[in-house]
Amino acid sequence: MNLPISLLAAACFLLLHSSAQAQAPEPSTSAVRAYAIVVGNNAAGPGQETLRYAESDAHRVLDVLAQLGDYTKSQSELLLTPSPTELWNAFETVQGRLEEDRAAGRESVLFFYYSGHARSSAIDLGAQQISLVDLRARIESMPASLRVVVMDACQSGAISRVKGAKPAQDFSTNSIASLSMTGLAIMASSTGAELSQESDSLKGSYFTHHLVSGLRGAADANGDGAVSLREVYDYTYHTTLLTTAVSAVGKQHATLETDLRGKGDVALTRPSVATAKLKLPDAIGGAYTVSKKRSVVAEVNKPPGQSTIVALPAGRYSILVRASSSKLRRCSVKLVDEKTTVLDWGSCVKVAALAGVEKGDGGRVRTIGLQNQPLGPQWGFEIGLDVRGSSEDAYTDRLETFGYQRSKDFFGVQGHFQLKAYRRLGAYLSLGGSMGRLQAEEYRRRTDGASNYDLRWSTWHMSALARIQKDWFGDCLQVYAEASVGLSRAQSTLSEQEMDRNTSEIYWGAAVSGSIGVVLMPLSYLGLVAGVGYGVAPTLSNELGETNNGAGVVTNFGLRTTF
Amino acid sequence: MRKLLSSILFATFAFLTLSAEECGTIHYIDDSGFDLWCDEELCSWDVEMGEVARAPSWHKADYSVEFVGKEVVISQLSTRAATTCLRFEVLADIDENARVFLEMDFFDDGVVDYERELGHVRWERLVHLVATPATWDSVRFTLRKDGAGRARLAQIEATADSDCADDPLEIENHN
Repeated sequence: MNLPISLLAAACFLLLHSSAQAQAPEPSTSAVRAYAIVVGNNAAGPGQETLRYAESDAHRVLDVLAQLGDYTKSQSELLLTPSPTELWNAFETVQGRLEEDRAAGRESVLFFYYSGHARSSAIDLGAQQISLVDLRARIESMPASLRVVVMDACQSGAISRVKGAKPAQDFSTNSIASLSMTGLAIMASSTGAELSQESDSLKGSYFTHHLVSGLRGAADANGDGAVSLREVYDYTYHTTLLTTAVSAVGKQHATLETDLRGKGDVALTRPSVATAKLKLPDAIGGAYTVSKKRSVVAEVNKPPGQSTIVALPAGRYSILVRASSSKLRRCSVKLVDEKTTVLDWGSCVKVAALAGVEKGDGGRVRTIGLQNQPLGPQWGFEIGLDVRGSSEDAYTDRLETFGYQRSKDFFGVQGHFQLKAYRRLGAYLSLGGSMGRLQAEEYRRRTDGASNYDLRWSTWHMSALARIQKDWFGDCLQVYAEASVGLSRAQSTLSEQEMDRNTSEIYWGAAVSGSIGVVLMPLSYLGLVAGVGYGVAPTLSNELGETNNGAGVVTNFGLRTTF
Repeated sequence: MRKLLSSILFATFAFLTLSAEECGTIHYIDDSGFDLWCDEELCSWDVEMGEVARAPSWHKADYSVEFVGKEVVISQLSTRAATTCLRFEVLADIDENARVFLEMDFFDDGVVDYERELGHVRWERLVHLVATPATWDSVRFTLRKDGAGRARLAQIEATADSDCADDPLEIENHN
């Protein structure tokens, strides 16, 4: 189920706030070389479960660093489920480059990322381990001006305990004010006693998901177009905590330890400006998770009343919205270049659920709330009364030529019940089926001195239908256009009264129809439907090849129930 | 109250009178639907030449009579009460390779007094109004087909009418 990471790499994300633009922190320039060692380790140690997304998380991190930071892939080491030797070799390689920079008088930044299993005293590289003491010592020995360490593993906060530092409980109490361009900063996905979790829905860990979203721009709190270490930690801390708060595994508190010198802030990424923009509905506050082809590309939290525009590459996106009103909805939107597309809240349908895998010792899968169980009305059933005029066509004209007259006529109209069932596949599309009687007629020929005949026929259909709909006021009002194609079956019986002779025939044909209508849903599960349409079902025919339409103009009224 | 009763009585009388007139319509041709078949022969018609067969019309079970072959003649003698105007109706399916003629021989003396070609149609109702001779006591209706094409007839009727605009047919004296 892993989708190409290139989708994420292609997603250039910029969050534009309506607030005033602050001055950007000093980004690394060409004079500063940036190196990254990015490790994704799915392998499980004894008693652990193989992780599913550690390697893909590593890809995502490297992509965002390469795309929005100065960490070119040629200057980075991506290690997927490496052995300890391979990891140490990577450090050796990067160290050589750092020493060259130092010799040349250039400043340098080292970004180290690890995603995988860990214990309170070591990271697990399959059956082998590297102690946190050794790992920290190796990082500290790297001759970079600034070393940024991100650990996404269970109890990863323990790496800070190695030095005796206390992990920050909340950024608001952290001494981030002293952060500068040199030194060491360690961000961990959890405290030394907590478990880190993966999510099938996010196809990655909660922590790295929010880290990447933040680096892509969601964390740009001051709207200056650059994401600093301070901002990304603040964002990742709160969003990870919020997301995992509802999990059965438990909360994750990201931690940050800093040992930095100098002034200013560290810009990790600078989200570039994209041309296609998505405007979120001002009135709807909540968490917006933007995904493309089932890979999450961004996540935004906004309060009600705030105007927020998200810049993304052109394309079609799915957006999961946990609104402030506790409603969970999924929306679909297509962004095009040079245009700001407004997210239509009315087109969103209710949805969702998530699952978690601990990155700790147990690695058990637990369901924690939000996933794969549609909460909104996905299925709908309608029963309606179709009212249509009696048919007038070549078939009935021929009957009249032969002296037949319609014997059952209620003001020229007739009513038939229709059943429809459909499944909503998105904000605008539903597919399903319908069946019912299209027509029932009775003609008689009564002449003095000739035989008397009765002709009865009825036409039924069973069709597949596609419906395009648009909702307003939530689900309360819907307008739809519908088309259906299917089979029709007509049965006629000609009875000769004097001879007591009946001749029955069955005809098969195609039924095609189209209609437009409106649905009122005063209750979430029950509503009223009204529409008008036109159909053709040229099924019944005579010896001359003339066919009876079988459908025609129709007006329908009915009830809809959804669940 | 008396006025209301009179109105009701008048309406009832008028209805019964009109109904009686409809019910009392004289049909000069028996088996107008070609429905009565004696084995493979029409019970009420004389097949004087050629062959006829039961055939579908608009529906396979609503029969017509097909004139089979190049030359076919069928006839029926009617001796019902005379009228001054005959309305002749027939549903016909006659293609371009066949010709069908309606003939009337008043007094059945072997002399055709009236002849019309029915024309080429695809199951359409054809109507001919014939101003009959001033006096007559019988008439033989004859349908004659020439040609190998398709010729089918259904619902043939001859009834008394009052819309004839032509002068009465002049026929030779009959004893």
